[in-house]
Amino acid sequence: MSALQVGLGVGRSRRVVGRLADLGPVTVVAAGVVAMLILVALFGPLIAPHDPTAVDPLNVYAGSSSTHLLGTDDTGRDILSRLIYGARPSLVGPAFIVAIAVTLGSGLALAAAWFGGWVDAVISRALDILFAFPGLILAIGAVAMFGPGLVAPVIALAISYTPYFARVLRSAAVRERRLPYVDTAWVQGVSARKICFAHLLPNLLPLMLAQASVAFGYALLDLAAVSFLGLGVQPPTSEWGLMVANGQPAIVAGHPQQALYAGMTVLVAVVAFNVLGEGISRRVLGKTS
Amino acid sequence: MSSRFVLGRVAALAATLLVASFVIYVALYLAPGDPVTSLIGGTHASPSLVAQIRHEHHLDDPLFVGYARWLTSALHGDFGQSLVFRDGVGQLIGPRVGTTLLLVAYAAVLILVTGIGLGILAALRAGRLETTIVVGTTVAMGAPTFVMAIILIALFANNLGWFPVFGAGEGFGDRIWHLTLPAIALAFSYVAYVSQVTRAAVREELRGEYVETARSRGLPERFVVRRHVLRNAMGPIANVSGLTVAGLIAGTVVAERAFGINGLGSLLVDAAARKDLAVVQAIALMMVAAFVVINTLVDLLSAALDPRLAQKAVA
Amino acid sequence: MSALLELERLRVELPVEGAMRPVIHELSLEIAPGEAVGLVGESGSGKSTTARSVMRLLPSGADISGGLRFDGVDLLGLDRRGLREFRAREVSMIFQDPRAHINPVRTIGDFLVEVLTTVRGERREAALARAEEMLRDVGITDASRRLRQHPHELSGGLLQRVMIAAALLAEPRLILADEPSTALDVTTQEEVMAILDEQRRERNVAMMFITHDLDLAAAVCDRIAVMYAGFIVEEGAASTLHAEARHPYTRALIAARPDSGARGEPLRAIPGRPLSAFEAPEGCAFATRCPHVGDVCRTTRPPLREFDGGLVACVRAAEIREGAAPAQAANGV
Repeated sequence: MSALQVGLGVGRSRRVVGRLADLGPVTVVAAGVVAMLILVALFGPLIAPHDPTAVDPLNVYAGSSSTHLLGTDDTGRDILSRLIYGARPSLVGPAFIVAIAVTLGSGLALAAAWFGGWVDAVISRALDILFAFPGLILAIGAVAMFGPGLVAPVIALAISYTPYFARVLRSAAVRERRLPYVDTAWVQGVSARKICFAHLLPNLLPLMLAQASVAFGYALLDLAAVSFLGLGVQPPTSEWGLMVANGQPAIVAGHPQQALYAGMTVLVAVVAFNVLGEGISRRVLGKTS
Repeated sequence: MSSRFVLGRVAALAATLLVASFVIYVALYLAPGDPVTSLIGGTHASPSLVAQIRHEHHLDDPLFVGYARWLTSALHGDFGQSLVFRDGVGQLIGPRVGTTLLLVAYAAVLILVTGIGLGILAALRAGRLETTIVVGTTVAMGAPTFVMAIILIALFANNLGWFPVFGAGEGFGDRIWHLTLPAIALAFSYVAYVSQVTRAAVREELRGEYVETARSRGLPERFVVRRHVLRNAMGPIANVSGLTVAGLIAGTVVAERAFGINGLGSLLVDAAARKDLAVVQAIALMMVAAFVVINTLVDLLSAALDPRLAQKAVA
Repeated sequence: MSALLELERLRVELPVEGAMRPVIHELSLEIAPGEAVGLVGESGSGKSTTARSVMRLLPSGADISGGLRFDGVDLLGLDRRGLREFRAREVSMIFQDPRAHINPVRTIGDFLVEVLTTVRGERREAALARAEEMLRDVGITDASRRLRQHPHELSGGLLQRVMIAAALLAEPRLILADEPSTALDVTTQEEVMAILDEQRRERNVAMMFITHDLDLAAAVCDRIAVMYAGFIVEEGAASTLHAEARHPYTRALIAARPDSGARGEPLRAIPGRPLSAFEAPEGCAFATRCPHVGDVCRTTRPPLREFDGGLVACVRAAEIREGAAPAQAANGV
């Protein structure tokens, strides 16, 4: 019987995905941009016209040309290739942030909803405290502790995103927990773990999907900001936020290409993820306007 | 609003601050790596010298003693010594607070005036203006501070030259002039966000049944909008704008960095990059405190604007 | 006696998903000064829309045609200013759910005096004094404290009394009461209705009373019009309608009340579901559910005509009264 129930849960989320097709034109365009970004992140090395680390001292700050579509940077590296190679670290980080935050958030939500009482109270209070730490401050603190790189800021941002997931999922889980079928299953001797994972969790999936898709754009933005501050991915790895920072000094000298192209890439990516996220969450939660 | 509600909020604020300060202290206390080693650098120091330095900086205290000492000193404005910058943390922070506060306040004013204004305009004027505002703000919401910063710098540094693109300036007028671009970069995406929330809130209230009542009583439309729709939308708007302004405290880090402004944010980034834990602790504590205090003020304001909230919270 | 409110072949269409759908078909009704007329029907029959049409409170995009006159003035021709004056001075509306229809973040006092101070230019202190007196008239004790309270501090019954007080404060000539007691619990319902009835009579204010409850309408109204799918199907004196219902729909409504049959007898629900106005078939709107339906009912729309001292829109009314009409099995939808 649990297989059937799981099947129902999966069926529900598959329906959700099936409905993504009729999201409306703007969302579809955003979905196209997102799909393109993901493809670039996956197959970047195959697409990039140049080695992103190949310097060319004779050809620094070159303008757009047929060999360098977006020109070159301060050491003559191809900007387009660096943007393409930068897609992977720029997108993998936010993906981890969201995945970790959703996992932690839904775990806490289920625990709070299932046990109730003091467990719920402690979890809720802890989440309140966590709310007091802005994500960026937490990320900077993590860098101060563990040194710069992708890992510490990603974990810090994931922790700071957790309360947003946990709060919404908790109230949904509490509502779901009160439904009669949960008690029926419990009386029938179904184990708590099975009820949580086979019944409660699948029913929270649409909400989790909605929240995750909205959070992704923000995670991308926050992590790029950390890199921009020089505390994230370190050179010579290319990453969009870092490229903006590295390209900034050249703006005053009249060579804004690198900073502007990298900045635009972040902008387009964040807008695309935001629009898609809003579209998905509207669909999933059935909200209009 | 009952005094019980206010006291409850203030007590919650104090509790949150206490726990948060403990978390900040413990996190950095447990941080891997010995600050003394990095302080002395490559030179080979005798164990007794290391022990002496550790003692001078209270690095050998047990956890709770250290925390109590740190917190009491911090409450007196003494945040200890910076091992990296070789100066009192207070001396490092003091001159920078004003700059950061001014930048945050400047951005906050931009957000409140422009964001709420655009949102109300979009909600009340259906049609092309609304579409323009909605599309514009959707794009603007994806424009993070550092992207806006380089766009503004590229625009003004070379082509227009109306505003300086570096530093914080001297004297009030000059500072405002210097901080204009940073404040715009910092406020930009938040303006978009606040305007979207404002539009949604006003729209929601316009649909309210009590608005139908007001219209059915022959009240002029302007009165209905001002005294009912906007008055009721004020609660959610104040709530979101307040949280947004609180969020500026963290966002200022990026704006200061991008425009080379010597404020708390720049100092925090430098300190983090160089593992200067005393400075990171102090600034993190101040920023978290400011964030929590603003959030509490927003809660109180929301309750004052909507008496139902205070009752619900006390009950 | 000339009519205070006059609806003449009123037709209302609302935009639904891009298409215009009729909500009211050719509705004619008159209310005399001081008279109370009940508009009775199931939800979706168009009774609330009728009241909102009089107030010109329809959603934007609504299409309203026909005659709509108050004291001889064409309401459909009013400009914004004229409309405001009309709403502020001539008519007051009492809504079903006072909790939703009174602004939750402003005080009861604000709610009561806002029309007096803004439209009529009365001084706030004077207006508040009148409001306090009016609260006492509608049976609210402790009135001065109530003025300073917010809606969430009052019970539903008290709030509806506040709404009634607000309606009366405007000294209107007509009150539109849209199911004023439906959202309240049973014991409060009666109190609130009694106060509305008493105060209205005392001040000689006419009333359009909208309800789905035929008995309640009969108790407080002089005349009753029964609505079905955007049509008035029957109209007559409140005192006689009950005993002499002529339209099959009215009869079915009476038979379907919980206390109509003897104890132990099952309720006689009307077969089929109520139609919305836009679903009304070509002939009689009730034809799909009528036990007396004949071929002619399915093809021609019955006009509302005089019959037995009232008005009824049924071609077979005479046969039904004689008991001659064969009761066929109802054709469900």
